[in-house]
Amino acid sequence: MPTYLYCLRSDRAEPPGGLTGVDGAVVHAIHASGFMAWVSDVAEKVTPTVDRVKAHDAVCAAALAAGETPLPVRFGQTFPDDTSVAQGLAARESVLRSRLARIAGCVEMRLVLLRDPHPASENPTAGASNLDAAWAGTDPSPGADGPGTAFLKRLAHRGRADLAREVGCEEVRHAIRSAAMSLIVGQHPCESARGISFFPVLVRRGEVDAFRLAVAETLRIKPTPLSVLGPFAPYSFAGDA
Amino acid sequence: MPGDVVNSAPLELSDLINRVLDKGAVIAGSVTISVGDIDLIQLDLTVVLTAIETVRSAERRRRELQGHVNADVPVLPPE
Repeated sequence: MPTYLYCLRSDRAEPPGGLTGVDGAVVHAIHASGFMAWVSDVAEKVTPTVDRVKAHDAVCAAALAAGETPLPVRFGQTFPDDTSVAQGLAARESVLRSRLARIAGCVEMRLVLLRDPHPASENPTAGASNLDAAWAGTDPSPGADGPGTAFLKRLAHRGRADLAREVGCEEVRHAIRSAAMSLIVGQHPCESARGISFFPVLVRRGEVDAFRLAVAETLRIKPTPLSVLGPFAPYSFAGDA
Repeated sequence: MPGDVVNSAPLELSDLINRVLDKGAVIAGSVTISVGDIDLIQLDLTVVLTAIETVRSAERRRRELQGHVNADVPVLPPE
């Protein structure tokens, strides 16, 4: 029966009794190359569904709560059997060990923006040409367009909004980096995917509250529609990307 | 707190999908996520768009209450 891999750890913490993962399978541990791998049996190739993604993350969250910070594995990695998992770990032992060391004692926080943090001024057409206003979706002569033109202008506006959100996200990231520099172990640039912009930050497990306070203080000075999610197993600092 | 800015349930789902599908260590070669037969991305986009519309509606209401022209949020004419 195929084996599904959730995460690796360097300590000897076993999965809590009764912990289940993808498709309700019981999670167990494999020892290989000095790692402890948390795995479960699966019936077949695991395709992504919301429930399975949630199950994968729940196992990694349980691993995070069980002891040292685990190295979370990307969703969907199945192996023919437990022996194949052990062989895969042996083949990448060096790089996996260095990644475990990189995230040791840390968790991932994710800071997410839902919209442009720098909305247009109260009078966005002031000083701008009609073309600029049209691209901004604020045509000074509303109602003059046919439905096709109006549709294209809405698309154009969405494109500009996405760009503005990504640029704004970077500005927020730099502001928070300045305010919380001593608390940030690692971070990545902003990404935009599936309608949101976000950036991941690696912080020490004992400094999550301090980091949240630093972010809150930054947002007090610079109001921004930002959500702070986490702490999570450090997915963004575990992989190749 | 920052996490209270928006209703976070759709946001957390979208972030969860981004995080778990796109990130994490790869042990055995590359991992291809096939979504060809799955509504995952469609569902994801739906909940995110819903969340964005909720935020924009709240922003519109706030601005209208303040007596400002709705400058930064495009309001579509009624169909």
